[in-house]
Amino acid sequence: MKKTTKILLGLLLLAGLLFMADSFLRGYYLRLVVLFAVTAVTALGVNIVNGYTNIFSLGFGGTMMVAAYTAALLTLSPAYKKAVLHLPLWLEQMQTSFPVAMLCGGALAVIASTILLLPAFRLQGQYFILASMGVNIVMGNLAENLRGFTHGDMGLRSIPAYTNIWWAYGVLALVVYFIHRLIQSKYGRALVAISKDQELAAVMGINVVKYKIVSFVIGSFITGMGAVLWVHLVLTMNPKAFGLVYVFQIVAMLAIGGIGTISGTLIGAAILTLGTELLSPVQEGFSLLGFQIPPAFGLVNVLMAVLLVVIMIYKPRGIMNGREIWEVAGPRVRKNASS
Amino acid sequence: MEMSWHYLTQQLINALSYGSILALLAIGYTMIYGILGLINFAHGEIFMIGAFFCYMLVTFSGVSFLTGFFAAIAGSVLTGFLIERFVYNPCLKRSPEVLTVFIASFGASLGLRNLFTMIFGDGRRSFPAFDFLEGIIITESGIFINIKDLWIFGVTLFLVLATTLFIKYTKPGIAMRAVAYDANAARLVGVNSTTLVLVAFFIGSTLAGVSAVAYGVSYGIVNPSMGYIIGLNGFIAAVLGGIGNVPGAAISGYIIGMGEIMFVALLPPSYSAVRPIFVWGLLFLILFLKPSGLFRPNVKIG
Amino acid sequence: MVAGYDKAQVLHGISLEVHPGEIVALVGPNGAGKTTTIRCITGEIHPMSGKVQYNGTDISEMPSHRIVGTGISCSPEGRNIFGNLTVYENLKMGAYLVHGRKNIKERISRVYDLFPKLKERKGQLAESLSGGEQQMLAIGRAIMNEPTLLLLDEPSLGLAPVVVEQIYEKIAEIRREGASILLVEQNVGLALEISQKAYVMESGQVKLSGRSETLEKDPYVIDTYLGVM
Repeated sequence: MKKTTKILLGLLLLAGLLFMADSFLRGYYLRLVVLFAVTAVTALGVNIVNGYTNIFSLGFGGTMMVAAYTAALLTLSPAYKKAVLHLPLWLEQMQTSFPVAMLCGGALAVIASTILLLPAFRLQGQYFILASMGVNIVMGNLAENLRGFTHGDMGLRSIPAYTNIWWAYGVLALVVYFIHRLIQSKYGRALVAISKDQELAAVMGINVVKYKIVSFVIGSFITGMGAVLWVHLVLTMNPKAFGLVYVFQIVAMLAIGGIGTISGTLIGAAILTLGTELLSPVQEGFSLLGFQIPPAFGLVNVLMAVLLVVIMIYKPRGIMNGREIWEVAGPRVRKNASS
Repeated sequence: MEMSWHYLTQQLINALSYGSILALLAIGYTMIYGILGLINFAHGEIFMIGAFFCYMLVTFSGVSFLTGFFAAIAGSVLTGFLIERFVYNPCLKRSPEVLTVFIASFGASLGLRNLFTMIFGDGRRSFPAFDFLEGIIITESGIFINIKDLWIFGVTLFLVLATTLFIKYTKPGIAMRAVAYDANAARLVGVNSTTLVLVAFFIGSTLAGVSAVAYGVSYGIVNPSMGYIIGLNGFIAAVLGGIGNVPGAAISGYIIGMGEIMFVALLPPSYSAVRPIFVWGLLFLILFLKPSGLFRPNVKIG
Repeated sequence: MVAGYDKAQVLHGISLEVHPGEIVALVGPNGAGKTTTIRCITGEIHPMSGKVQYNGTDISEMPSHRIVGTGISCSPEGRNIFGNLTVYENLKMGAYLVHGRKNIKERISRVYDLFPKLKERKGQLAESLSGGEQQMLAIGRAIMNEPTLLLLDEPSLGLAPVVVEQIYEKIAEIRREGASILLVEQNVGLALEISQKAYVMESGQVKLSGRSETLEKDPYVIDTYLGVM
């Protein structure tokens, strides 16, 4: 079977599943399925920079914030904006469609990450990580304080509910396909070389800085889109939404599933999103064999943290061990050496 | 906005406690970073758990301040040892890549924080007050000095001095600096780094415990997330002071603490919410100008 | 004292022996496995097969910090002094396993006698020393625990000839005081001059061995190593 046929059939299958999900799943489960896709998009975007290019940056929370607020400001009704915010007139009266908002969100995420993170490039290893954490905190702080634009910590509400299962999985499928092709192209090979040994790659004639910048651009655009999708699913936005807690969750997903692979990212996203949601009821206390087990909020997070530590100790490359699902049968390819 | 001498001095006095809290935490971070080469993200939780130990014992068993104080230290040290034994030791043995240990480190941090949120709930609880710490001295020029601030500053100064002397003159102290610089060469002169690591954790955690009591006494609040932001600021101080440099970390703790307070004091009140920006801005500025920190780090450069 | 071992990856079956009181030279080109050999002895690497025996004890699997305790001391390639410590502190670290403050003080003053330059700079940070002084410090640190076997890896590396001469004089003095020395050296001429026995290593194997004065006159050695100076 030709590759294109395979892909088309796969898409058809996916479409079928989505249709069934849309028609038959109850609201809660449907939302969960959509949430997974949205989170996956974000995680894949992060994976480009953190995984494939091996730059461990935690600053994507800040850029997601920029994307989310941008898109929200574009899709919110002028009436709401007028009532709650202090915007310049052209912005206040603007209301765009969802795709436009997504693209703008992505674009601004790219601009933000370029301005904020590139200067930090000259810092080494741990310092860069620290600086990227700082970006998050500073952005969060700015969001709290620029009340005219963001409504401070009270946040924005009544964001139109554009994200449905079709948008979420549509974007996800596109992103997966795009990344897959990207990695196989010349760009991808250069990235692998850079991630393994930067200096060697430079000596071989690869313009390391250029490729890093390209990674950042692509990664932040995708992450931005993920943020926009999320905001139009959750329908509210506040400065804490993409703070360090969220950032660490995404990193945990990548780490558990396997940094540097598409399947790893998806599996990690699945485990964390679905696992957290589905295990939540346990937190509210239940009866087991006649004993009443008391509520324990935070238990799921504790379990996830334990899982993370255990995986880091025993399987540092994540569950997928650095391989894609479709590579499992074949020989192991070392995609990303240790940093 | 007054720029008077009086006002500035008052602000500096107010900042003594906060600076002390940060200084003690910074030393913990820098020691562990120096000897193990890893950022102990869970240090903030070691701090928090120490505070909770003290809180619990004093509030529910009515013990004296001294007992509570040592309980905090005990709690912090216990946590530190557990983290070393169950997270860092196995991780460094099997998967010593920088990134992996890093992620494990904040996995530990998240886990502990959520564990305590689970047990105690997210809310803030009142840290007990102690009589001998209450009271204010008012100087002739009208400056207010809290007794508790004096205590905190005094104890911190003593501990910082003690630790600095330890690391400068004692055999394990010099050995720790040696290991921070070149662990292999240290082994070649017979240093068993395993014991030294435990010493580093012990000292770092003890100081964190003291810092926790200082925080509780100063701000009167404990909650499971308290270690998070303060820890981060403490870590920034450690980085600022040069990795592995104990006195450097302490001084930087005070710089950041006082800097933050002064920043807020000198700007109109509406700007106080941007405190974090000051801290991070300072960090970026210094890293930009002097990437290895204000003082000489204890690691091999290059 | 030290007996043979294999380590398949870098070393392909080598065997060497150092007897008490002698200086043994280990020479050969870059990548021959000389440093790997040293590291097998210090315990930084463990041999994949074969063993390392010292004074009758098998130390093949012993961790480095304990091997030092058996009387083996090393001045590694690249010197590896503690740059953030003073000269004095470096020497004190050399005596890490030694007990008795008076004892340590005496030894330090003996090192100062041997290397007066170090005494001059005793309060200075080690990283501010010149290359030659750092090498002296490395050796000084290594003899602080009065080793019975001293390993010297490339002591002449990167140093001016005058300095190298001085250092080699001191090495000879150290041997006179009773230590056995295993010397890894790229400068073959120097190495053969000072040693009694030598092993020539190439590509992880011992190609030649024998008394140094014999090897000095060996045509292969002269052609390959002594001609290119």
